[in-house]
Amino acid sequence: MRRCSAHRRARVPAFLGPMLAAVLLASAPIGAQAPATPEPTLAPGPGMELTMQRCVICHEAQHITRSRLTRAEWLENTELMIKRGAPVAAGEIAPIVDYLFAFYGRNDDGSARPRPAGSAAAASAAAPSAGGSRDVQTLLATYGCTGCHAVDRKMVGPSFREVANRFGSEAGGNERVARRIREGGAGDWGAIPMPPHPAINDAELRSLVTWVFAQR
Amino acid sequence: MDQTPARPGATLERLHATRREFLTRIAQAGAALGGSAIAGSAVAQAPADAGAGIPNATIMAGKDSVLAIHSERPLTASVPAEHHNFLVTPTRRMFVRNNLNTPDVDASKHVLTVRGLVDRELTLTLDDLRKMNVWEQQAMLECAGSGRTAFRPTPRGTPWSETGGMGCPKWTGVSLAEILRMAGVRNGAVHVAFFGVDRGPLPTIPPVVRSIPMVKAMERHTMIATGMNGETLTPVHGAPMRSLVPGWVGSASIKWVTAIEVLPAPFKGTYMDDSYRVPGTPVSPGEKMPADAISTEDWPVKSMITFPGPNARYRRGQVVPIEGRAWVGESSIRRVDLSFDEGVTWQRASLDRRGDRFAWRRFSLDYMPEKSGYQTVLARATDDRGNAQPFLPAWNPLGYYWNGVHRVGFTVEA
Repeated sequence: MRRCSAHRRARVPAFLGPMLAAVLLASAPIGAQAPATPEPTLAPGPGMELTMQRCVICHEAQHITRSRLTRAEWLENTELMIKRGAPVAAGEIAPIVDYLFAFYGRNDDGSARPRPAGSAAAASAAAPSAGGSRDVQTLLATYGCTGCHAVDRKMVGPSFREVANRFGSEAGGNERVARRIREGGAGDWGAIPMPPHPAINDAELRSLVTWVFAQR
Repeated sequence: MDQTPARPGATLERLHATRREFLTRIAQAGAALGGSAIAGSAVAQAPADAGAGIPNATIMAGKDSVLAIHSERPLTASVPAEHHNFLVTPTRRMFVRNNLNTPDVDASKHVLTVRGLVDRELTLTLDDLRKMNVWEQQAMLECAGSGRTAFRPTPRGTPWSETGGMGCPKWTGVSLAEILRMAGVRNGAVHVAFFGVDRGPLPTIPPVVRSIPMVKAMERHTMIATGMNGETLTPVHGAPMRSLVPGWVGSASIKWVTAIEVLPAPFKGTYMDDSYRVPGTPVSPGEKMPADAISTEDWPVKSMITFPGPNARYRRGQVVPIEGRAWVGESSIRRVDLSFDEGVTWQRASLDRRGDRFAWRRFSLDYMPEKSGYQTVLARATDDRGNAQPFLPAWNPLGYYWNGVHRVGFTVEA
């Protein structure tokens, strides 16, 4: 993922030091602020899959993970997104807002809210690991795959079985599916894009593709 | 001549109808099959004609690597102040703020319709525009939310840095007034709306439509632009044609414009009624948007230091050549003052007041530091109406119009 700070530093001549931090410190943050480098995936927890399905079709997860809003603001924001075309049914608003506030909330006085218990482990699981592989079920949950895909039925995206049947025996099918998981995009199954998963490492990608292709 | 009264709300009604239909379809699917997972299948059946548009990688290949991406979907990107040290913003460094996907428009088939409260409905091609009075101006374009991350608390929305989300390239095009005169504006015209061809990934997503008051539409600098910096518009900046409403918040300028509609009232739609609004009466930080909200229009006076960049180092006895840009929406820059003691005292920078009506102005000052160590320079511009930049601009719920005094630090080695 390209990041502002990395780019800001990229072309600063060697004799100029890292000034960005000084500029940011100059306007000292008050209250809960979004992290400088937002997590690329939603934190696992109740409502994560629904939120993924309804929100991450149109914009990446960072629009959520970089924010810290009050419950009222998340509700207002969700209602705005519905006006902007988000496919959220009336009964889905409450579980989505509950999730957003639980994981990306701030208190009305501006102070930060702690993440629900267990989410720290989940958040670190979402970070790129050193290259080791994790259990496939953990990967499916960590990267939110099951928010949009099921083994044997179409949801927001195609079923894992359909993907396996179409690309499992195709030359280069492995690379094609791996690339789609990491980079995201649309076209193979219609216009709804798959979000990119830039944090996934090569070993995890191999495990996932192998597992998906085994679902035939 | 068709004398049927214009129905400006027709487009919006159609959108609402489509949206209602779509949500009903989802609800029915959910009810019939039970569970939100099944409801997703309605989403999956969305028509494939929504179009994913031009991939970001293709767009960014035409951009400098210093252009930082703030969001991939929709694509937003900008450079901070120290990468703005050009008299004219190069296309490769011009900021990007899409709301939807970047459409791949066939310029030879693209048409611009002029409709609504006009005597003659027009259908103009790119070639038609090229036969009109094409002229060039340098003009500012700045997103309403430029600088948003400097507000505390930081409102939601694109996390533009304090000096990101703006640029001042040269634009080639035809005055909108010439096009409107050709169509003949009828009595009762109040606003002019621009419609782009860009679309989102779902059919329920409304297009970005914004309208501007007639007086600004008829002002000669408001144009339908077909070129940027002497070349054909690039796809991400609105090829083959876009509206340009200089001095006003960027959202007034609609890319990939395909229709201009003359209306008896401001356009009603989510990009008019839910975004690009500020409180009519200021609210305390963190408060909700009040009922008296008004639409954002022209930018207040603003400036930035483009040189030196962050954390430059100089030797004692060496001149620090301060340089920057200042601009304002509907006024002009009268002066720019610099402070080297955190705003206690100020000294006037030299200002080049020449330039196109809506172009930024260059200011500079050769500063000889009197002491060594870390120090700062602050820039504060004042316009012809007497408005100067504040240290902390009025907080507003959507984080628009950040025009705080810009501050850059540097170190003088003994």
